[in-house]
Amino acid sequence: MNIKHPKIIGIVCGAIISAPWILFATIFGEINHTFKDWLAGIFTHHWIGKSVILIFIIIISGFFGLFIKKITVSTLTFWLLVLFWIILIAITAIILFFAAHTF
Amino acid sequence: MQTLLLTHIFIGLCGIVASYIVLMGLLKKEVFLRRVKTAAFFAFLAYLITWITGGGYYLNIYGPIIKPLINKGEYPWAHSFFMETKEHIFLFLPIISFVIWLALISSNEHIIKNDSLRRSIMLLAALSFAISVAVALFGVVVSGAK
Repeated sequence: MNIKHPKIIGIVCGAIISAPWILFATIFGEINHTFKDWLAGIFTHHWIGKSVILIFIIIISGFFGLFIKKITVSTLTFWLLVLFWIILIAITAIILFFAAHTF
Repeated sequence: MQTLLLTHIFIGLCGIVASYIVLMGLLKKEVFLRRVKTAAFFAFLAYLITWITGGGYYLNIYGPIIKPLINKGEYPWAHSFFMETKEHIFLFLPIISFVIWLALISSNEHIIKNDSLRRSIMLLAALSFAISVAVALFGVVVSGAK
């Protein structure tokens, strides 16, 4: 069975790619202040830099999704589950990192 | 500038309610797809507005005024743990809610027929609700620390 709008898989994949980006930018930015300052220098604040690059990842991946013609329900289900787990892992890592950094 | 904070809080709470409606709607035996889709769209819209207003408030008020006060006060961990965690895990919310909305509008009747698909969207909805509640509670802690 195919889903109605197969092009959304690009956005789902973009969301999957963006999770490691947020994790990397958050942790590496705290460890390496040159990276954080570089983001702040270009985008006025490191958080805005992370957000803008995040949106950029979603747009680029969404663009590639435009070329997808057919996606089955099981494929979409699989990638949605991948997204769930990858975000859960990223969030847990961020919470543990700031807890270790603070306490 | 206080308007930014109030908008951020109010719209953020609306987003939590919308996320709750999506989750509960998917948990029901009979899914009212139209209601769930509308709630998913409003959740996405709410987190998008919260993203912009929260960012604006952080840059203009929190960063230059509130943050130094918290760091010099009795509870510096309110910023170093709660605020830092909040501002970074929040970034996942607009993305998850966008994906949930897109998955709902592109799957349509498959959600009713296919349990695996419904479960995967439900897991994302539960995650989005949990993050939104956590972020709101972290905000309460930060507000109490200044």
